[in-house]
Amino acid sequence: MPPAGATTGATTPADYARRHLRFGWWSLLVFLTLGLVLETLHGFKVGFYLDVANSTRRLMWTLAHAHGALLGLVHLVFGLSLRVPGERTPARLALLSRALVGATVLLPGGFFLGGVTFYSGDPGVGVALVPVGAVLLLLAVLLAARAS
Amino acid sequence: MRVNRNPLRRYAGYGDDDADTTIVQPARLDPARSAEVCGQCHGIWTFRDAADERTANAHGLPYRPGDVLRETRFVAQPKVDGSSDQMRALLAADPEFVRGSFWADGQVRVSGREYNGLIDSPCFADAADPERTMTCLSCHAMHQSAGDPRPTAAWADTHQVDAGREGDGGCAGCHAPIAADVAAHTKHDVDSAGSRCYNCHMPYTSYGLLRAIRSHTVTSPSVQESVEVGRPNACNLCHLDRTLAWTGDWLRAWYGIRPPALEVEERAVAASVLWVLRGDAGLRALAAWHMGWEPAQEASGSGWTVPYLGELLGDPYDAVRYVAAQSLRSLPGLGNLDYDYVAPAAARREAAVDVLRAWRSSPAATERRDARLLYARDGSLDTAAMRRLFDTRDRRPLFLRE
Ligand code: HEC
Ligand code: HEC
Ligand code: HEC
Ligand code: HEC
Ligand code: HEC
Repeated sequence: MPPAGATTGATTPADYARRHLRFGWWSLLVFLTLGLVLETLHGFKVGFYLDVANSTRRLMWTLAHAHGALLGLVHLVFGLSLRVPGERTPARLALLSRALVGATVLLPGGFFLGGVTFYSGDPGVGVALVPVGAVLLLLAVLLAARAS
Repeated sequence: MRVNRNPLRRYAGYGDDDADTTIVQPARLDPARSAEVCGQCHGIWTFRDAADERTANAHGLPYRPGDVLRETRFVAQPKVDGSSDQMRALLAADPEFVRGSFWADGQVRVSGREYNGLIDSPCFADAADPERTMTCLSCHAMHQSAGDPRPTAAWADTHQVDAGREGDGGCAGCHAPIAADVAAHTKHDVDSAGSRCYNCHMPYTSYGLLRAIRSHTVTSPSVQESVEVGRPNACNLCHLDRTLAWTGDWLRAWYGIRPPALEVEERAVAASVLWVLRGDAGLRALAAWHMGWEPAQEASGSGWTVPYLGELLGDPYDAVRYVAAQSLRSLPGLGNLDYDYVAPAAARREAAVDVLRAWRSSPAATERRDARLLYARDGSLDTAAMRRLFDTRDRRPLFLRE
């Protein structure tokens, strides 16, 4: 698997399709695993995650799991759409690809860090990555929408 | 606070150690304002007039922590304002307003109203130096303190009393000379329950939640309060088997306090026995509770209390019956006492008779043969004397507004 965000090797739409399918499956694996971990914390009623005083952590990590897994699916759909014969290939494919990968790292990553340390009702400073990721995601979706 | 909707301001706050000036922290207020923060709920108050009440109903209570509480409310303090116009008007509308919450001398006697106790305490009222003025936070920690080594449950079980404040530490900080030589002041062994400041100066004379509650008015024990006000004194709440005269003699010997004149019974019969047989419902509940209080059981023995607690199982007041049954359950062999305080009267009577029958054939029944506990020399109960006292019971209805 090429390093995330690297574009050097990818030049053709087929290369991009492969890259996003791989990236999608791997992120699904990572964030579904996170889901299983959270489930386990519920199962054993672990206070570190479930205590009322830790509700910010619970919210942040739930968001990390949900966003990561759903963005994984977006990568799969995007990768597949590049393989559909006759589909228009988006303009600025390299930028779109980078933005989508960046969003998938920053959005759930920011949520996760925001829950590692936090200030009672406010998430930790790591959550600042989230709006950056959100802007990248909007950019990617905009480019994809214009091509559709 | 609206300004804290700004995330930049909040995160700037996390970055430094300074306190957030937009939040009132009672520990940073001066003592009177700090106590009022708690007093807005833990106090007995009414609206100053009908207009205030209408405003509050329409817009909520105007008091905000840090404000002067009495600017927007009438805080009842019968010791100070018992004859004020406001109090007279209140009593005209609600004749039991004072009696339902205060002892005859104006000291608060119900649970949850600790602020009224505090403002009548010398440690608050006579204090000149803010550093030496008692507030709720002199003893309580609303969030467990960072340095508190106890498990959270222990902090909660002590009713959120801060570490080191559960014992004499609650007083030692401000009364160092006395705390430096406890026994010299208390005349009890240093380790005795009779040497704990709280037990003499904040005894369980308030009532609420179906139990006795520590008075939050700091007072010193006296026989006078029991005779003139009708409030049990701290000595006899632990020395249940002693008379008021006994306490009066020791208070004179130890502290030079002149005892008041006493009636025949007050000299001859143990104080707790008088409270159980003659007292009003409030006194009966307090006496019954103390018969189940471990320090009192240690100081006074407990086997002899069974017939008195048994008598209270038939009390006309539900709460008194409940407390009496709880105290019986603290005694050896009665842990599983099967008694339902709201069962039909016949069933309750039967349960009480069973308790007494079992007790008569147990060693506990012959433990004591003191005339002041109304036992004859042969160990039998002097039921005629019991009946005589019972006939003079204070049967005025009493509703304590906890
Ligand atoms: C908004 C009203 C309100 C304020 C203000 C308030 N309390 Fe309370 N407090 C209550 C109520 C109601 C309860 C009873 C809760 C319950 O049912 O256990 C209570 C219970 C308590 C208890 C008993 C807890 C226990 O474990 O038994 C303590 C101690 C206490 N408060 C202290 C304080 C102190 C000290 C302050 C001021 C710093 C304060 N409270 C301010 C309403 C208030
Ligand atoms: C925050 C400080 C503070 C605390 C805590 C405190 N007191 Fe006081 N107390 C005072 C002050 C101030 C006075 C007023 C007389 C004085 O200056 O000594 C006083 C007065 C008294 C008096 C009356 C003295 C007299 O001459 O009439 C008694 C009794 C008393 N305190 C007992 C206690 C007991 C018992 C405790 C613990 C339950 C306690 N105090 C906790 C500050 C405190
Ligand atoms: C001198 C120390 C001291 C001060 C001052 C003090 N408390 Fe307490 N308070 C205690 C202790 C000790 C207990 C626990 C009593 C017990 O063990 O039953 C207690 C218990 C309580 C309870 C629970 C009563 C119960 O049994 O359910 C409440 C409520 C409470 N305090 C409120 C207050 C408020 C409000 C203030 C201020 C107005 C205050 N206290 C000031 C020592 C203090
Ligand atoms: C919380 C319980 C408690 C309180 C309150 C208490 N005592 Fe005691 N007292 C004891 C215990 C326990 C002993 C047994 C000896 C000891 O531990 O010092 C005792 C012993 C005594 C004795 C000597 C033994 C005897 O029975 O003749 C006298 C006298 C006495 N107390 C008087 C008083 C007086 C007066 C007061 C009130 C100012 C008082 N006590 C308050 C628990 C208490
Ligand atoms: C056995 C009961 C008893 C115990 C326990 C007790 N006291 Fe006292 N205390 C009294 C009596 C009685 C007086 C009243 C003396 C008087 O009126 O002259 C008194 C008076 C005081 C006074 C005011 C007069 C003075 O001597 O300065 C203070 C302050 C005081 N006690 C603090 C404490 C402290 C602090 C503790 C705990 C270390 C404590 N007391 C424990 C019975 C007790």
